[in-house]
Amino acid sequence: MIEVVALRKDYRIAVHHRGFWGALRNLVETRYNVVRAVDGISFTIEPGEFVGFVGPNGAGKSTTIKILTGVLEPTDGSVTVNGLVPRRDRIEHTRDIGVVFGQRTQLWWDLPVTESYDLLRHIYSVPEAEYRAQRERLCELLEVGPLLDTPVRKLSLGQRMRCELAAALLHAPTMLFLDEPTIGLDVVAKETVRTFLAAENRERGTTVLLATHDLSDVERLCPRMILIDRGALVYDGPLEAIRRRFGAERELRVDFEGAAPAELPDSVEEQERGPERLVLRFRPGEISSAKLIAWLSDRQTIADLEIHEPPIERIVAEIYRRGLPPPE
Amino acid sequence: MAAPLPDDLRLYVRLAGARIREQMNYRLSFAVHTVIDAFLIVSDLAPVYLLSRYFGALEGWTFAELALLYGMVGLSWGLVETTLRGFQKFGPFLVDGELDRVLLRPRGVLLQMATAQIEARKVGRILQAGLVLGIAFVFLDLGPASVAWVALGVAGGILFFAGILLLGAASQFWTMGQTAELQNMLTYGGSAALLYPVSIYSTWFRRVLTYGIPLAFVNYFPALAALGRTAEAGWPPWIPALSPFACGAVLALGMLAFRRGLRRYESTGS
Repeated sequence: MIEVVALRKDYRIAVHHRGFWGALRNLVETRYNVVRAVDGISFTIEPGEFVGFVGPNGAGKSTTIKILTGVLEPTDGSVTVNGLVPRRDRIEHTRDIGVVFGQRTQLWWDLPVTESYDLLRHIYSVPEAEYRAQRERLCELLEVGPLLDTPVRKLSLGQRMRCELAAALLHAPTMLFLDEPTIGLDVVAKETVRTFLAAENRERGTTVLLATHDLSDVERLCPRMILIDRGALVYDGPLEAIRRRFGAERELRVDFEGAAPAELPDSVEEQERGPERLVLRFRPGEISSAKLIAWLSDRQTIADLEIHEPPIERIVAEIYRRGLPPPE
Repeated sequence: MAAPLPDDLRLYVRLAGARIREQMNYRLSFAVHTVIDAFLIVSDLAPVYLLSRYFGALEGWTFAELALLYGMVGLSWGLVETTLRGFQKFGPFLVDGELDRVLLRPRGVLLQMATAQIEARKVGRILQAGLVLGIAFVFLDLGPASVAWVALGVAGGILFFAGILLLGAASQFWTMGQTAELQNMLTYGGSAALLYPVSIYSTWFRRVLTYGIPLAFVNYFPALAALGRTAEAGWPPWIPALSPFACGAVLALGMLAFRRGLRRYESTGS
């Protein structure tokens, strides 16, 4: 069980002097700007939960994950994971967690994948038989087998991410912390990763905390979403409730073959207007996409159109503006 | 930061081996650097040889005796540079997040950081220093007691240079990787200064090297003892025996500083 109580984290950003003498000066004289990255977050995650940890870039997701995984110490508040204090009990704690940072590799860059796995087995002191079984299982699920003899630097991003996930789970941890594991992946790779994560959680009861700013990850995988912004908790509950209240909004971008219609249906909000272009916001509950498109094409020929879901930043803005949905 | 257990030692060998295998992907670079390193011995020793030839001896030190000094410091620095190179490159590792990766694994930080980089070609320098030392032994016709003094000096040098590397690495926690020059000044500068007996330096510098940064304990005092000249140089006979303690103190300081730096990193972030 993960328990986070009133977690706060301040970074002190040193104001640096440059060059050799500057470096010497830095040793004796240091000025700091304090930046509050996490500001009083509390939540509890039960074993076996799959939680989406969502927020705009810079919201404090990575910092929170670094505290939960024992890399950083909280400035204030408390964090316990299965009764352990992550930083204080670092060695014991890290035996039982798997971590994937999407931007960074856990693997040895110039060695074949299989050698990284062997090294990790020794780092985590996994008994040979367990290691073999676990490796075989993961390689099959993540389709990593054909990549085992390839040096990590020659893998595509999608291939590498599958290898990273297997690497993070070789020691069979009960908890998995993921920081943006789907960032930059193509549709197929994303789907492989998501299917795998869902199965790990369902079949092995692995607790997963998935930090992401991609709501489609959460929609697909997480019954529960924790939403943070500027270091503070904004929402903790099912994604659906948020969706029903705000997320139902869609954005429609239309290019016309001629002047854009001057008038619009009542329920549609105009975002942008060009001579032959419109960006509109609407709610499918009030007017369906099909009806809106038909209404527009009755008035002018449509050249091209796109429909977007609202990005996480807008949902956050909506919550500030209109308040949270009532509890279930 | 527990004492190295046999299991940790085995893991060290595995991790270091992995780094060496990684480098073997770049064979040409490896070969070129090894050749360059092989020439360094010539460029290091040639001026010493010329000086001692020209003056007959430096402050009473013959070329063979100077080679002994060179071999001692070269061997200890070479061993440390080869096995703990990760600390020498610690600044960049701190900045690019290598330390976070290390902290995510259930193993000692020092053990993992030491192997964050290993350069096999540095082994060439160890062999060269050993060769010079061997030749000095033959020319000076040293007995077993003298060899023991030399070994003590080399052991002290290992502690000393390891301590200096850790101190330099620790300073990066406060300056975020900007003090690599300071670290290099102490290690490379130190090993260069020790090519000559510290008695040739002016009084203030000699004092710094004896009492401040105790470089004199790395090769000068043990070499005096090995050559049976401690008294002749005006030092009490027990001074060379302090070598492991003086050098051990530097290592202890280095470990302490690194631990404090790590605490600071964990509480303030990068």
